[in-house]
Amino acid sequence: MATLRPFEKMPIVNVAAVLLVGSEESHREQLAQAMLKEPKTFDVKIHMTQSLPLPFEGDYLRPRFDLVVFLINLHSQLSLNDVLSSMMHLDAYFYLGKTCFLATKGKHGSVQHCVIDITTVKDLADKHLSILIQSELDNEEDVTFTARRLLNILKICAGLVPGISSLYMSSLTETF
Amino acid sequence: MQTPTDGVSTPQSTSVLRSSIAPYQNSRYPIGSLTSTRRRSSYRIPSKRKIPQSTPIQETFDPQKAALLLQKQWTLYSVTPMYDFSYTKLKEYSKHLSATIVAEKQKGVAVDLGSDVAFKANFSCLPGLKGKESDPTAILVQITGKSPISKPGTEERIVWTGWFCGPYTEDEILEVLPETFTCLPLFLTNGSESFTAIVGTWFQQAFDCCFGKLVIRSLDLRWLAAMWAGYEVQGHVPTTELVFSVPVEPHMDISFAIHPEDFKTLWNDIQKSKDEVTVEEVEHLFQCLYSHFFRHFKIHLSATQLVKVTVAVASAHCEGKVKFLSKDHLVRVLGFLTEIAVNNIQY
Repeated sequence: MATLRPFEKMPIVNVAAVLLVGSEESHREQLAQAMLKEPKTFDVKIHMTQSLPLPFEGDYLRPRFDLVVFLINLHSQLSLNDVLSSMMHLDAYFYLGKTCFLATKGKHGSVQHCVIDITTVKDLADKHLSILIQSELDNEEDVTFTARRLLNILKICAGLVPGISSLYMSSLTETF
Repeated sequence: MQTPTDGVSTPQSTSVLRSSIAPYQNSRYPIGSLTSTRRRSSYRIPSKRKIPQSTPIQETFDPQKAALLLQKQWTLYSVTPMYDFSYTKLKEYSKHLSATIVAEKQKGVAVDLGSDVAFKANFSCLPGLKGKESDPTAILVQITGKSPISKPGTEERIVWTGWFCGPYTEDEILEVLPETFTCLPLFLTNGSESFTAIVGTWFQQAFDCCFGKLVIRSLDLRWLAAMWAGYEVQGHVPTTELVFSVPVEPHMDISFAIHPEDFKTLWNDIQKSKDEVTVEEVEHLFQCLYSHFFRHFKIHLSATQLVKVTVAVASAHCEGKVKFLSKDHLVRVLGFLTEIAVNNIQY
């Protein structure tokens, strides 16, 4: 299956589409529900997958993705491996402000289960000039807040904020 | 016992450390060593670790003292450097701590240990428990209990043991510390929690140091398993065992037992250089184990959490519990734990 490209399809009016990639189904579900619940001025289409590439069947049903979010559970090596292999199947243009990393479970109380160090994920995000969000997703508030942040990013990526391009996104990341 | 630190710093706290110009109140180090504080805040996981070779100092380690430390379960804590600690005043400290225990007992803190028992604390040195010449000498604290009904002349029973050590502490840390500080970052205890609390509080008051619960992350457990996979141990060799916790309800554990010889053969095929271990090699080792397991049971072990590792030299649990199984490798394992303890201390 070919790589996923950012501009291969036409956009739909007032619609932003996001693709959640990650091996933790519960996290994807939680985020998607919270994003749909949030009040917003545009329509959101959420697609999820455990890993890329996406199957060829049903390709015509998919919208144009404005943002790809990689979910990494710091307690699971599998989630990192899935993300790393998925990243190969994404067109390089996506990394110009249209990707974002979400690291979960790095909290103080459960540090002993961490199999991935946070610096590893930070390096990964820095290398790809992408934003890294750290979140626990263990309570309602946290999920809502994370969903809100993703929606803000998505809004910019979909070109729904006049005068601001998602290319500016990389200036928000640390590069040193 | 204060348990504030947990290893990984949140982005907020990192940014605070970076931006504030005068974090002296937070810093438990004096002003002069602020440069090192900065350096530690940007700690990165090392991509390789050296396996230290045994040195003649370790040969001097008393086998009787070593027997005290082996085959027991120890709970780990990290300790900030102690101010004004003197090796010549150990007798005085013993008296002072004994008196503190008596006072605490009268307050009714340690009643669960039998109110008639007379407790006594005893400080001693553990010479030889160091990796290199510049390491500070380790100290052992024992609390013995003597029941009034027991016959005179009977041995006092050891009810609690704790020891401070810091083999292979980085020289950079030791150098920036002023003379008045003693750096023994690793604290291990065995015995009742209430004694740990009393001793911890006493040390905090006497030497202005701070304790933190030390957990061994799954990441570090992997290193531990790999670094000591290839070691020969004399006598009885326990089965190499890895315990994985599956993050589902109800709780479920997977125990992965491997014959030590097989584990060693696998590791010897992976390891390229004899005296160092790289992060790629560690990942490769576990990738092999994961794919083997997946082939037989169709379970992704990589999605589970490694919680316990038992190898020939030691057994470690992620909650900060360790058991040492071999005298020959004791100091080297302690060196690794010291590194984790130093990184656990937040400035």
